[in-house]
Amino acid sequence: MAGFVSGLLGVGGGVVLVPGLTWALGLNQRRAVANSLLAIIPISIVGVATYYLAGGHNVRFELALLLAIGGVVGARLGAVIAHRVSDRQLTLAFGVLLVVVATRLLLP
Amino acid sequence: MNVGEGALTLVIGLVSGMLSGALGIGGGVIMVPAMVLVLGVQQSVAQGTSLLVILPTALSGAQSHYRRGNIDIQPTIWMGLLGAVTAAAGAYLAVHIDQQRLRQVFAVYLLLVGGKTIYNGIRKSG
Repeated sequence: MAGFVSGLLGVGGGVVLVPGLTWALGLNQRRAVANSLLAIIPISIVGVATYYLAGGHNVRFELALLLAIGGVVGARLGAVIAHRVSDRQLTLAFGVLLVVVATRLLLP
Repeated sequence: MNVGEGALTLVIGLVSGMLSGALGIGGGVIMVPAMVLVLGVQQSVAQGTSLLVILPTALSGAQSHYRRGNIDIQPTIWMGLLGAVTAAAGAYLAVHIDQQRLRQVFAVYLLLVGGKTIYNGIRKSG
């Protein structure tokens, strides 16, 4: 389901995975975050392969390299933050993120 | 790409990475609009590139969470593989249906889920 929406809309899948993990499987927010990150990996492998096969120009490697350097460092900082704040704060932050993403989708 | 754009690109990566590691998302929702609006990259290129960036970013975040004992590897790998199959189906279907309508439906879904998540968060103790 998460993969389907991800491929369809070009969103990560996390916005579907995290609520699914907390509500359907009863994980706490922090555990849902951690497992969502792992599940995202095979989903994006298929995603990037699909885009690349559709046209090599769709994936810009030099841009990806710079973004990934920032991303790898940022993700570790983010994981540390997720373990410092309470589960309640993490849940609220995720809720706000969903509303922001929804608003962006409604804009042209 | 000049030095300024390079620095900006690093910052975009850092911010989306932080949100990714903290909230369990890929970071595409931050990266794609930032690439389009700030760096002037074409939408489809931004989407394709962001999916590549998500790999090392999610791996880094997942490893960090794993060290803290928060990951259940087996069921999650299966879920991810299942997601990968449906991702291909979604990408295929994306070409054939009305994107605008789809975005609206998904946005409404996210608003409902976001609202419920905030409500749950408020009711949680601590």
